[in-house]
Amino acid sequence: MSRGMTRRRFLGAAGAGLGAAALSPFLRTLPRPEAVLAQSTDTLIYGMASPFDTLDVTTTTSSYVGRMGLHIVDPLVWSVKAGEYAPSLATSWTVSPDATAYTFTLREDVKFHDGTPLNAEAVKVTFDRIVDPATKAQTAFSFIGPYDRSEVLGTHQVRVRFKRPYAAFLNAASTPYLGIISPTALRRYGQDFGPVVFVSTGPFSIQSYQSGQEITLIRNINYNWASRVHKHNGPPYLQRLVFRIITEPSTRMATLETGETHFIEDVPPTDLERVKRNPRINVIEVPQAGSGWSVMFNQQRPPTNELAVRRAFQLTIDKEGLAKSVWSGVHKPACSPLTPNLFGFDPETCKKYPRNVDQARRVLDEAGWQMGPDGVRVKGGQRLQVNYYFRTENPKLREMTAFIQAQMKPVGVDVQLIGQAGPAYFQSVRTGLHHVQYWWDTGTDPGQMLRILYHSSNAGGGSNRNNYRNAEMDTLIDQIGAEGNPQKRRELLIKAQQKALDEQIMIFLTDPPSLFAHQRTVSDIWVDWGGLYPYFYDTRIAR
Amino acid sequence: MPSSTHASALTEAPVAAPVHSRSAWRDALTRLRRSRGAWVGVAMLGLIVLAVLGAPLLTPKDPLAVVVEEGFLPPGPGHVFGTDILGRDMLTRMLYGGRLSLVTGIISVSFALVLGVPMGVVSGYYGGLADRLIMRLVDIMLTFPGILLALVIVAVLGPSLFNAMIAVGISASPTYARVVRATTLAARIEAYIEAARALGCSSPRIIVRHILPNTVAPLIVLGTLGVAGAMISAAALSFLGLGAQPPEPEWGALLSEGRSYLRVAWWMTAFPGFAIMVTVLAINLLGDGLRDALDPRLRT
Amino acid sequence: MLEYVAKRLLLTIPTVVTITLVVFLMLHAVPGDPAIIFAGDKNVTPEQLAVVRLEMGLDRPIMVQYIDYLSRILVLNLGRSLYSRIPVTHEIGNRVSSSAELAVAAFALASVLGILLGVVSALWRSSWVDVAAMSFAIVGVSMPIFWLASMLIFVFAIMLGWFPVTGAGGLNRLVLPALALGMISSATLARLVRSSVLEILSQPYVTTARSKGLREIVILTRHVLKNAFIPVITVMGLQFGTLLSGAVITETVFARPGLGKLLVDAILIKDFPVIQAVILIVSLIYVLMNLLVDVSYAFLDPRIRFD
Repeated sequence: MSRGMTRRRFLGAAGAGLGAAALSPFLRTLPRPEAVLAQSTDTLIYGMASPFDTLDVTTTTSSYVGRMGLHIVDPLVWSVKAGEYAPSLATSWTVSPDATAYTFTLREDVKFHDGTPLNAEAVKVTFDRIVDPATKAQTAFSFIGPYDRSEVLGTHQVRVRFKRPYAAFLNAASTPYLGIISPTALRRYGQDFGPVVFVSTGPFSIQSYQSGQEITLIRNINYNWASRVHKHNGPPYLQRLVFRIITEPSTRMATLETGETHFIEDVPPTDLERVKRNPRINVIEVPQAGSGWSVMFNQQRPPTNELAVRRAFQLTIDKEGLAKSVWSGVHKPACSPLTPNLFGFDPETCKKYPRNVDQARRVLDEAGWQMGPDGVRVKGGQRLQVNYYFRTENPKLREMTAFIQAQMKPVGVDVQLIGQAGPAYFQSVRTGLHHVQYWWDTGTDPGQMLRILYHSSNAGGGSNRNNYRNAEMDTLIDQIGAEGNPQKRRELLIKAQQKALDEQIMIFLTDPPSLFAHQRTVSDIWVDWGGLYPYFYDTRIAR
Repeated sequence: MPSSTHASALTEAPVAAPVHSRSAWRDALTRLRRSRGAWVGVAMLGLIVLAVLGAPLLTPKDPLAVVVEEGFLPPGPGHVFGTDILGRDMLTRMLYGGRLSLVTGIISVSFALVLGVPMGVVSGYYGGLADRLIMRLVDIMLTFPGILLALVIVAVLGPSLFNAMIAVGISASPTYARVVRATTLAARIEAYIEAARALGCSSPRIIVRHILPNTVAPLIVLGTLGVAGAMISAAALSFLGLGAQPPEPEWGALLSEGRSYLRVAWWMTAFPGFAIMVTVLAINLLGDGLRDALDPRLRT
Repeated sequence: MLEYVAKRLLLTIPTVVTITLVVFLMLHAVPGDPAIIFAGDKNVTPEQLAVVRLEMGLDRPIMVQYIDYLSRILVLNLGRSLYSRIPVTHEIGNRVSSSAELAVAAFALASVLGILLGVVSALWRSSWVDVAAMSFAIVGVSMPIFWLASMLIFVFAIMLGWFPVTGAGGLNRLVLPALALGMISSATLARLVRSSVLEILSQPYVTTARSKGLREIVILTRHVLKNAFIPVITVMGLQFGTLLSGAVITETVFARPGLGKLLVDAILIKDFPVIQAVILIVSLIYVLMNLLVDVSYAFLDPRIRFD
């Protein structure tokens, strides 16, 4: 009997213990302060489409981090429209005639979030850090171009020098990736600067970061150095800015419709029509600057090393149909490495090589690819088989690949779809196993776009997955990078686009718009001309 | 890990009642025939298999053909189960996909058997160090709950339907190993008597002639139920993007395709999922019936 | 009793160590140079790659890397995520509460529902209650969890709007995921509880107890349930394992930032430190769960204690 009592008592205690343990998670999840804050007009909740790889805007590879980053840093200059810049941290600047030296005069009243003042030394430290291999900077590294060094000329004067002429530096300096960081904080936090903490001069600073969930920015009450591009000066109206990661598109859409978020990015194209009809929601649709969605062909691997094969793709793929089905008609068919809103875009490229399936067949016939018994063309014993590598994470990629495969089949091209998850995919395409792969890029400088896609320095493992190496194109791109005269620059850009098209290096599929949506109560949202950065400095939320 | 002394007949397949004689099999068959659930299961399964095999006869459409104008059509005339974003007919994709899903289930279980049975037999028959090593391996594999082991294996091998079959097969094999070991242990006692009589009979022969037949009954049950489990596991991997790759219309992959469009095209999710459920249900009914027939002790 | 627990606890250590070795080796067998993986789609110079490789210690022999890894684990240094550079302990810490509340809710739901259905259908065997419950159970066992989750979202969150579609935090975001995760588990449990109870009910000592004139409720609680629970507890322990793996899918479908989703995402991008850490933790939990099961056995059945 006594043993039974002990057992019962133990079980009772255990039960109570388990019960308490079971309850505690629930107790923690009773109404959180954030839920109350969402009601408050001082907090804007932003639904993000992609998780952060890091807080550090100088080392990130993600353009989504750039969007958040623009709120916690200030760029040296602010982009007004293509080619036009307004002062931001820099009050004035001069460019040497050969575009190898940029001299900036900085504002004297700017303080970092840790209270230390902005000076020329900070600019030097920021840029030197970007090119330091130990930092592993990605996007920032490509934006800083042929950076050589920075010279501190005075407390608030700095000269940035480049190894080669770099006409696009002002554009780069207007991006958040080259935002200026606090050297004091960098010294203080060491390895934690970036992943855990980030100190700059922006209108907001980081209050808290829950990795994988959200980052909360809080208003910088000392902020008083807004660019004249904006509507006011002083601290932002918003008290808090919460970037909440909601990667599932339908979930993200739902949070806007239920009021859980105020603003979302990347509205799913299938939901666009419905959302536009919603009286409580506003849609912001801006043509995205960059090179759009495209297909890269590996020029080093047969059969895609043959112009005829690549041309057959261009003549067969129904870009209108692709835009209509996969993208619900929201995208526009594309024809150039540049999106139409970029400086130097050549509209003539759209008229060359329009869709013509019969001509595609002729081109292949003439190249010696005869139709085989199983519906796949053959030449010299080789089947016309093309390996299409794509990342499995994105459902849209799956749909586009299936579309292209289905379209090429009647023409006699066997497209093999090889989907791989991130790391394996990068391994494959960087080593050039692919015949075909996707590309999507954003950016506001046309020269940069062409360099990424076609310059031989980016081939063989870099961004030029076409593995296209052509001295003439390299020269063109270098000239474009160095040319300051707009007229001449435009001519060079057009020449490059025509050459790219004639050699059919790639195929351009669609040009996407940047799709944002927000509650009607949110006003004064600024979006850059390229549709890349929504900015909430002037934003207010009505009660 | 609960050791085998704690396991009850509910968590492990029947250990005793080795079905030697032909009359025992005949009794089992009679019990099976009387099981209503098994009949329902067989009928459902039969219909499904026929539909899936006869896909080209049932639908003239091509599961991979893209028809831009017919995107996102709800179920209706011309498209019984609707279409997806590229205008592909869901019924057609489901019928062809069913072949993939069923074959995946069967092959996964085959892998599991090929791995698990020899492990169990060697472990149970030879005992000693081999037994301890193999059971240690089995225990470790079982420490990874459910799909996790398969996930890691697919991560190593790379996403593809075939790799998913391997992964699911490997992660299912410990259960078979354990069961076969248990029946081998039980049968070994009898086998030794026979071997003593036979004098000079080699071990492999004893194994094949006396040990293995005893494992058939529990393996039939486990195998049948295993196909159902393997189908779901493989579909789960495809759902996560780690199994069947587009445009293979394996049922799990179809569910993955439909996930983003639940609001605008619920039929892309509802019907393939229903198909999985119905098939698995049929197999489970059959498996239950088999279990009841082959081990009357468990019959309730 | 304490001796038994201590003994079993010690036995788990070699298992756990072996798991870490297996995971460590498995991930290093993965094709793909992690340094290149880290570079992704952007342009990276060979110097940058070399720096990454040096930092990850990939140039040292495998065994040295493993010993180093083990010694770091023992001081709870789980490294930094290859991708986000955030300490793994932070990544995990942020997600534990979401996974924990889901696991507990689903486990509670599954256990209560499963045991209830199982007992009820056993007691009223062959009645409509039995048939209904067992039909529900067999359908439940056949249902793929990712389908159940999607359908629950569609019906209750999208069509009816009773619950939010997304994320974690708050009771009303827990209901649908817990339902999805727990329902299938409850079906398995219901079937097994029913068998177990029926088996006990057919035992001679129950008939003896009845003939002695004991009241049915006494028989039920003191003899039947207690003995039926021994195998049931094993199954509940095993179900916890199913819950852990089902949580991976549930968290993905419901977009809850939990350990399961962390693991899947980490596997997709081959974030070694994160994968190793999460699998280690999950295995530890599972091992502890099994230990708990064994201990409760020893309680309910004193014979086993002296094994």
